Amino acid sequence: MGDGYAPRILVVDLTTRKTEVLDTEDYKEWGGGEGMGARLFWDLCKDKTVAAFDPGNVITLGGGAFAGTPVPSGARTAVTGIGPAAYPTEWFTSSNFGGRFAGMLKMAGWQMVAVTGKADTPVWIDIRDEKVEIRDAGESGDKLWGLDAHETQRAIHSLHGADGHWRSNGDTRDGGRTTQHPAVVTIGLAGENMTRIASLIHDGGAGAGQGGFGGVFGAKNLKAISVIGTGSIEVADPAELLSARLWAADNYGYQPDNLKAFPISATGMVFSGLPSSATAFGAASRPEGCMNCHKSCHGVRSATGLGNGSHCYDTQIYQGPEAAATGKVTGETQARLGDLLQSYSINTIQLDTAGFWLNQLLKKGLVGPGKQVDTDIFEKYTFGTFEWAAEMLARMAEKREIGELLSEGVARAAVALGRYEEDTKSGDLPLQEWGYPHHYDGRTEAEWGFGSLLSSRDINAHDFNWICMWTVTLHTLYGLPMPIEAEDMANVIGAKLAPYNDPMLIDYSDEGMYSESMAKLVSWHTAYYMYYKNSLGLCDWAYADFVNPNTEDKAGLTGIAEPRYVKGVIGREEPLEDGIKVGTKIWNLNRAIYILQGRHRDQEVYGDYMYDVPSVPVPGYMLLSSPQVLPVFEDGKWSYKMVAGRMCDREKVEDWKTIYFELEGWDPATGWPKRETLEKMDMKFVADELDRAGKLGA
Amino acid sequence: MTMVLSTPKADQARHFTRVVDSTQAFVATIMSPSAGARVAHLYSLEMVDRFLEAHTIEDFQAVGLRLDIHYADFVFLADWFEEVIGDAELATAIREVHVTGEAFGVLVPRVKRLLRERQQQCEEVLEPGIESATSS
Repeated sequence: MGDGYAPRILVVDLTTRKTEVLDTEDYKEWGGGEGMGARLFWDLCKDKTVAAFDPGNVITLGGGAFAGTPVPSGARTAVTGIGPAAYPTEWFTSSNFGGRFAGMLKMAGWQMVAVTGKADTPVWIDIRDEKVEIRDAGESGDKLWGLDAHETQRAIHSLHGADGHWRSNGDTRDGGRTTQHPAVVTIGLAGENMTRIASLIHDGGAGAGQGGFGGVFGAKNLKAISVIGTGSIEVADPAELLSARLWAADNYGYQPDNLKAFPISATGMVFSGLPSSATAFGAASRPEGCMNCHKSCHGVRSATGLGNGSHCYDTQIYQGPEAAATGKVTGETQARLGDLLQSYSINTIQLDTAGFWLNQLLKKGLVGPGKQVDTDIFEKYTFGTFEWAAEMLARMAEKREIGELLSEGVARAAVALGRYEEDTKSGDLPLQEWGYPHHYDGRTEAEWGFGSLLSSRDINAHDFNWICMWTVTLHTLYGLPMPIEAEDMANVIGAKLAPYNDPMLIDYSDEGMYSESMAKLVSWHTAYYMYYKNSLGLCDWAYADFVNPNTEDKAGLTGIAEPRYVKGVIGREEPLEDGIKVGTKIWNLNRAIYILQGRHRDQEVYGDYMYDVPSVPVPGYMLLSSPQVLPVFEDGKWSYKMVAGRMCDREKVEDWKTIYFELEGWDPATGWPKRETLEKMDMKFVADELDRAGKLGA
Repeated sequence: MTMVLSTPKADQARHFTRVVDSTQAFVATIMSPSAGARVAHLYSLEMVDRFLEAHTIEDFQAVGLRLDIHYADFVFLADWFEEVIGDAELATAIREVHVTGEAFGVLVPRVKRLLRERQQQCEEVLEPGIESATSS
């Protein structure tokens, strides 16, 4: 029996156009995905301080042990490498996307792909089972360069003769037979033009946006990676795995024939949530999902054809400007923009942030031909209309007019315009950390903010956000009885946070957010999402499932399910506490790479508005807040409390960082891991390299 | 009990239904799980009414994680109607609704009722066609 892993790792050097094969066995301890990618980067990237667009940058793609197996919602593909999006430093980072890529890669026999170097002319990588070919993507070859992300996939499908009928990649009668389309990850114009805001696109609507890895593909002259696999994935204990899947779906999942979850609310309870593929854009839709997922959140919108496959932020893009222009959000505008974003391969959040910021500056009279922000887009198009957004996307992708600046990302655009300091302080340009646009608010949801600040990007890990904020806030706003009382929530979640098992970890009170408990929560959360989600491959739209409406005690499957999946796929007994240790190891390796890139605790500060502007609505002033209600422990008891209005306290944030660094075994003066901390995790090789660089924690 | 709004005079009706400029916009929020919270600027009585959506929890359950909440803080909204739009009576009526302490989602239909009542009054006063003017 196998252990869920494909046997080989593919390394492609585009400069020499040669490939190398590594043994997956040597990397299994890292889980896959982000963990394996970080270790591959560590081994293959000789100079970890290179720029994102330097040929020496190493980008890895692949899933974890779970990809391609019946683990529900376990199909994510992680991308790692130095990303161009972060500001001021292009941190080593990770992004991920759903779909079929990671599973298909494994069925071709490859666990991961690592790409280094730079091709002298445009190429694409064509993987057909064990056969790997670096092919000409230019005019003299397959003519992919210049196509948008959707056209590219169709062209590659055509090159494969993939038309839904049986075909063979092998030499024998039944060898390599398949009816499948190859899984393709590719870029559009924004990637080819090496913008910092470019995403990687796969199938209809799956994309890795944060990090800017589309631009890295462009810098390497790499148009696409395509893979068709006709093999299989062997798991350790098929009976246990199938049993775990059915147990999870039957006891915790969405129950179409028994809507008992609904009176309590499916919202915020992601594993059990209604598959919302049919609801985006208000259009009829056929559910479609990632490989082996139990939820099917994507949609094929046969009624309009618009926004096929869109399922995340792209379904809700540009709502604010459209509401401001018309007072309504149409849905059709979002669907059309979703298609455009994907075809150009542009990260969704960049359009919304750029639009908000420029509109703020417009009110101040700073935008227009010949003005500080020299553009005619507001004169030629009405902000809030589809036409304005479509034109802005075109200018960004083509690096044309104001789009040339914005293709560098809003942070660098603001620096170039001399606006960065003033606008990040006022909040006109809300960049919470590392130049990433404000997403969820660290002033209120402390674990999200601190987790992002100490890592390399907006973490986009909704584990606590779904239940602690969304479910509670929604029920508060609509005056409904809480599905679970605050004390019970704290106990249920706390019991799942091994090794801490402490309800105080979800105390979001004014005191709690700067406490040791919050340090433990950030530590646990980072380890959880880095291992179980970003490395093994579980989806953020299904895990963690802390609270579940289908159970008597409201306890979700997290803590029970993950070890069962590990047992079924990999074959080892690994309680959650041990999985968290693996996650902590991955987190420390990531941290070490940041440190080699120049990270120091003094750099780890939020955008000024986080300290200076309250998170409450102020008429005529910026607002990036919402009526957030979270669990707090105050005066000796638990309750749910509106915490909007809070600002971060600079001194307390610094004190909290010290608590956190001590908890992790890092030097509180620098935030650098200590030798003993790393060696306890069998990472002497990391300690030695930090030591040589003079960056080992004291 | 909801306050009854008195019928405005023609010049008041024009004033109450005007579109203000962008520096005077009311700042509302659109909350959604995947995108977080985003700003929506609203420039008129009519836009505030169109923006606010009367939903039930069942509506949100039906769309799962793809929900949107169109949120406006009613204290700030009342202030905006009084200080920016100049409609103190509508502001007072919204405050009376808000002071009940009931949940936002429960109050939305009541606030919308007030907004619509005011719009209808203005339309009737300004018959045959509603006029509007941009504030200077």
